[in-house]
Amino acid sequence: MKSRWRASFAVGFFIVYCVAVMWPVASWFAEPKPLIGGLPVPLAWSILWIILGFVVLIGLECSRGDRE
Amino acid sequence: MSQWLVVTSMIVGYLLVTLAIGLRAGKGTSATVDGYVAGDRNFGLLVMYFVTGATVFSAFAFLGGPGWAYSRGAAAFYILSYGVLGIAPWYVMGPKIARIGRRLRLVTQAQFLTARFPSKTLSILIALVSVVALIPYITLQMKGAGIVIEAVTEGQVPLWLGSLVSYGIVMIYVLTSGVAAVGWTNTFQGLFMIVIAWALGLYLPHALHGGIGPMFTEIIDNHPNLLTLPGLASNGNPWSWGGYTSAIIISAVGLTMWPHIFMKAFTAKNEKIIRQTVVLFPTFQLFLVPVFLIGFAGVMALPNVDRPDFILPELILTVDLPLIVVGLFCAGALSASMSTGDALLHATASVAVEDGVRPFATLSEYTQRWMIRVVMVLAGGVAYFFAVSEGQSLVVLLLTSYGVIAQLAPPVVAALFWGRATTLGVLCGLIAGAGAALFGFFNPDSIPWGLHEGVLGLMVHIPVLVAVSLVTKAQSSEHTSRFLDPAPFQSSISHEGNA
Repeated sequence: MKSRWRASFAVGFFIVYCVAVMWPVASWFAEPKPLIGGLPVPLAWSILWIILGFVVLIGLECSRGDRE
Repeated sequence: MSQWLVVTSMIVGYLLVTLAIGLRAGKGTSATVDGYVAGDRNFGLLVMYFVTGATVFSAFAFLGGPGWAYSRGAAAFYILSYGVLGIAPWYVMGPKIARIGRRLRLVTQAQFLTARFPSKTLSILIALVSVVALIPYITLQMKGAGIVIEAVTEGQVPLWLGSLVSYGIVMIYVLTSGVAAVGWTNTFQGLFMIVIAWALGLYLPHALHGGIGPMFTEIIDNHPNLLTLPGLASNGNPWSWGGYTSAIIISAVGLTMWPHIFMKAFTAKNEKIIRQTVVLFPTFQLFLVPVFLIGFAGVMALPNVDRPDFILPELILTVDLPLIVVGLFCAGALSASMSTGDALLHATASVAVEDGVRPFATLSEYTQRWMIRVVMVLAGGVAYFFAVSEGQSLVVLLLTSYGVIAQLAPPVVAALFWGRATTLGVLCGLIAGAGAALFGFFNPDSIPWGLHEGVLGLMVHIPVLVAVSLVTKAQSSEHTSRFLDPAPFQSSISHEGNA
């Protein structure tokens, strides 16, 4: 049950990821200003999602334990 | 000693180290097709991580990435957005494919698909699509290597010679050691690429603009549209949101469908390593950030570069860098080119022989390995011919091939997750999808909202696959369960596909 919940969360997260970097959601983050950490908003937005994706994948793998 | 001789010496040193690693890599693998094409299914996490990362990020990323940032601004961010989305499904699909491949002793994508959907026509169709898509890709890698060497040696080593020497070395180690050479050289080259990209990506904005923040402020003040999504099209006008979004979709769908990446699922030591490679892939994806910073550094510093793909070598030569840095940059760019080119050459030859010839003829292991080597030389020769002869059409062909390669995704997904899919459904879907993608490419005005032609292909492909599958006779549940839930697979393959 727990593993099914984790899988559903991961699938849900990547759907949100997909929506977040495409039109129309990405258009809300289209303007470059204000710079975030010296980076324009669209670049910072893309990097943020890569880092979130990394965290979710790590969580998914760690939650598997050593089931093999 | 003149500058170009110093740089050339460093390039030669780098190539010799790569050659030594490549030749050494093959010593532990068996003299079988499994050993030559799938590395005896023995790649560990370190090698799989760098093979995946270095193979995905090619000369196109190292030279084209800065070029896109320089000329098309925010449009380049689509490359940053699709990588993790494209690799994430592999967390589920990769281990499943590896398990099936290990049980059935599969080494190529077409073998995997025709095990589920038995058809010689399908096998040769996939071989044909793969080879046609891979040759221009190899050509671009060769050309990238030649361009870099020619630029940093001030034209003393022309493109034809730079490509010939660098890919001559690739050919020697891949012919000798097979995929093991690809694995270990990619590990070395991947490390090189990451270090060089981050070093230059952080250094150049500081050297030219006083920092990353001041660089972007200067660009926004002078070119306000450049950094606004969805960026610019190749003609300098604003790109469409349809083009930007569909580029992410088609690239994500196609990422793991490229044969040279898909086939690496068969090389992993175990399924956990494939999953861990996927988990770590975003760290490689971030390598694009400094690559883009390099391109943006050139916007104000070198405003009139005619060929955007040359912005990185132009910057290197414009900024007064120590010779050792110029040499290291060259090695980094060669790493990007060669680490993808070797995997492409190996995959092209393996696919051509295993999927285009073997289903029609009985070949011994020895004959197969030799045929793969011969085809590799032929494919390298054809790509080299295109690389040294001028040809805009190659880029055109490569862009088309992305749309076509993505058409392999629906059959793969159907093979793993949809028991009702049939051989005829997959064949019809593939032909219809690839045909629609090609039609869209040659008639771009027929596609609304500037969508990528590959998306059009998928929009035709998926309904055809589903509809034809539903009206044709289902495969036996005994057969399909071996792919939907591969755990109970036995060691032998049955071809009773259509019950």
